[in-house]
Amino acid sequence: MIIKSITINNFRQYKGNHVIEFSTDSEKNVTVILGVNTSGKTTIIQAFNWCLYNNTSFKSQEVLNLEVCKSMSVCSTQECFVEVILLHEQKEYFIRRTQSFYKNESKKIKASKPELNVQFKETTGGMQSIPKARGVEGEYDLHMKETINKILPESLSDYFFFDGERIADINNKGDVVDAVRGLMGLDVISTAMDRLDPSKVASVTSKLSKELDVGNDTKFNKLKVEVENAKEKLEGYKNRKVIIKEEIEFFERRKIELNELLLKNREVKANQTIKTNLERDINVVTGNIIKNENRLINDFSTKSMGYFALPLIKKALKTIDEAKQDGEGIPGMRASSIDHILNRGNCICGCDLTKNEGAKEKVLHEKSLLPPQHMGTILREYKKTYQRIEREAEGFDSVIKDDYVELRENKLLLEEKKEGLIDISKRIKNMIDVAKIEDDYQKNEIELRKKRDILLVVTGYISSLETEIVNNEKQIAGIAVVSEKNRKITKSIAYSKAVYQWFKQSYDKQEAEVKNRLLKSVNNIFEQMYHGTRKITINEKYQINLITMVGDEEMETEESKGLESVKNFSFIAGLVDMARIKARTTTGKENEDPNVIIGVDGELAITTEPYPLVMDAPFSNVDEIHINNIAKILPAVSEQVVLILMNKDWEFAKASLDDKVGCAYMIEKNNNSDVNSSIRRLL
Amino acid sequence: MFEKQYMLKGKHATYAKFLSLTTLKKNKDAKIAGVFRANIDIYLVAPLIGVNFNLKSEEDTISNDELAIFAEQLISQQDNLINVFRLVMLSENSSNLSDDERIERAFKEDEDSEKLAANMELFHKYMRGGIEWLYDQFTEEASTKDDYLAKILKVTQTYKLETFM
Repeated sequence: MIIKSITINNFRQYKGNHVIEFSTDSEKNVTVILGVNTSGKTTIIQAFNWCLYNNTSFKSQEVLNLEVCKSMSVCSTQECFVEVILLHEQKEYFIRRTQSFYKNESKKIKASKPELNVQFKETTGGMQSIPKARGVEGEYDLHMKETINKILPESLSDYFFFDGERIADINNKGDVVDAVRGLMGLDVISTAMDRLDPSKVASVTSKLSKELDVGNDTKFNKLKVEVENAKEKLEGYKNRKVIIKEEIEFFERRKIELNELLLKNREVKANQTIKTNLERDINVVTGNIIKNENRLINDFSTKSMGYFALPLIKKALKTIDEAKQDGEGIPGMRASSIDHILNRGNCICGCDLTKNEGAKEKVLHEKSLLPPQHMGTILREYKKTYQRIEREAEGFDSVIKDDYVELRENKLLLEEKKEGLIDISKRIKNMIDVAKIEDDYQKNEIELRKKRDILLVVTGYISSLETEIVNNEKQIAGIAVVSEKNRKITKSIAYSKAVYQWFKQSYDKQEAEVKNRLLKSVNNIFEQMYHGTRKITINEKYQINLITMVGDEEMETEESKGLESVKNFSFIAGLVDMARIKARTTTGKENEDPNVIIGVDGELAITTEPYPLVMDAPFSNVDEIHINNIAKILPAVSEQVVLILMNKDWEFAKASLDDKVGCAYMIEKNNNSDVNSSIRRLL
Repeated sequence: MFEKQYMLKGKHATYAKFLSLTTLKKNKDAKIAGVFRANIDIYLVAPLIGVNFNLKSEEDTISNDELAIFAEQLISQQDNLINVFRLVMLSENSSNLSDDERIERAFKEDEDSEKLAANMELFHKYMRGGIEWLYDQFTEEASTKDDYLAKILKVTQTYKLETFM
């Protein structure tokens, strides 16, 4: 980066348009800007910072020149701008920042947001604008800022646009490491390393690692095992289901069979009832037959006498009837009874038979009528007896017939019943035991219920396993995708680590070289600036320290302000010198990409850009001898040196720099005003 | 009369055993008709049948079989036996007796032991004749219990037919 010019318009003390063209000559590379106190020397540095980074140490309202501001009428607008034209990587950039100011009715100044405009001239000569683009905070000038930062990172700007009065702090700034790295071209590779450093949370490697679903492989394997197990179980349950279904079908068929048997069972039951009835009937009839037989025999035995006697009785009665027997004796009385009466001598009527012969004869007559002497009575008695027997015998044959008929009927009935029993027994015999069937039916029902319950359970298991398998397979498919992603990420991590290692090795080597060279360069410049025994050391943070040799020992030394300024000048000069040398080396190569490029031997090449040194009051804390020394060295180490200083300081440096000055300017207060300065070119 | 045990002998004893149920008391497997409840029943009706068909039979001495009609049985049926005895005496006329003579024989010879014995022998001859008739009836084309029971009706009907028709 080489600054061609800066145009300051209505900015701070600079009312109207003021242009400073800087020397771009390689030999006379020094531009001197002289000015008294409060003339606006520091404003030039501020103009650079404002233009490039919108960075000011004053209020925005103070940007506009006060006189301009005061001269503004109500409701009018004024603007100020600073334009920097610079060369960078063989392109000419036009960077302008403009701010508008409006004075309202109450005479208050309202400042608009400063607007940035960046253009560059193509090698063909055409102008190209960096397009506007909105950033995350809504700013429109994202690309433009990026472009400026590529040319000169803001973090490095303090090293090149600096206030000499504050040079003491220059090496103690926290971002010195970044500054050195940036300047040395290590920043790109360092940033790349940062982006790849596995130990850094924000690195690509870490982000990739975060994207790795590390638990998935275990989960994947677990799920696969679970799916396999579930499938095995499912197969088992499906086989079981088939068997259970077959069993259920068997029990259902058996149920139908048993039901049919039970329907037949009704007939069997009826038959059994018939059989039982028949058996009972047979018993009854058999009993009746026995009774019939007994009655027949009994009737025949006890009543047949009269029946068999009938023909004899007829004959006997005829005989009796035809017998010549007369008189009738007292019924039931026998001759012996009369003999008894006669022997006792008293008649039953009370008559004394011993004294009454007539009565005695009468009694004796009665005796003659009685058996055995008198047949008449006997015959009459027997006649009655036989007649009674005859009467009793009547119907005997009917009784016997009835007895026999009843017997016969019962016999037939018995036969019938027996035949029925045989028939029914045969039928029942051919049938299965009903009780057993009913028992079997109930057992079958229990088994059927059990199997159906099991089927429900097994079906539930199957459904659950199928769902589990589907879900797990979905997860597996998902994990497989993730695994593929993991594989890619792992590969990317491996690449990024390898690249990191590659970068790191190269970076470490380059950094060590840079540090070493920087140390040499700084010490070399320091030696040129300071004649003493002190030496400069650089620590890992690129912070420099002065040491002095006491005997063989190195000791840190107390520093005066002047010595510290010399030290810091040495550091900056050494830094710029090294960057300039590096730039020259790099640009001397055939393959010229100003950014990071692969080196010829596979190592990463680093690149740098030459930078100007724009110093405000650089020698304020330096004595005249050292001013002279510093002034000699600065143009040698930097491509472009801009010194903004007071005349008194310039007087000391003039001797050393005069032949190096390409351009010279004088800042002059107009009318001795603190708010209106002009820049007059001297050379 | 009819107070002492009477002993049936020979075939008549055998026949009577065949006809009497009491035989089974001694031998339950005996193959008999058993159409009379007791021996006394046979003894009661057989003389009537014998007289009716004029069948007299002497005591069988060929066979040694015997059947006792016990005294208590006789006494229990004494009235009926006397009635049957006098009826036999009144109605039997193989000796061509007059009515009065048959009445005399039936009623007035009880005290005369000689005549009574002769009359009793006549009674028993008819009794044996009656047993033979009964035996013939119950054994003709009969061999089972049913046959024998059927024979009761048959015998009753045969008796009626052969006597009154």
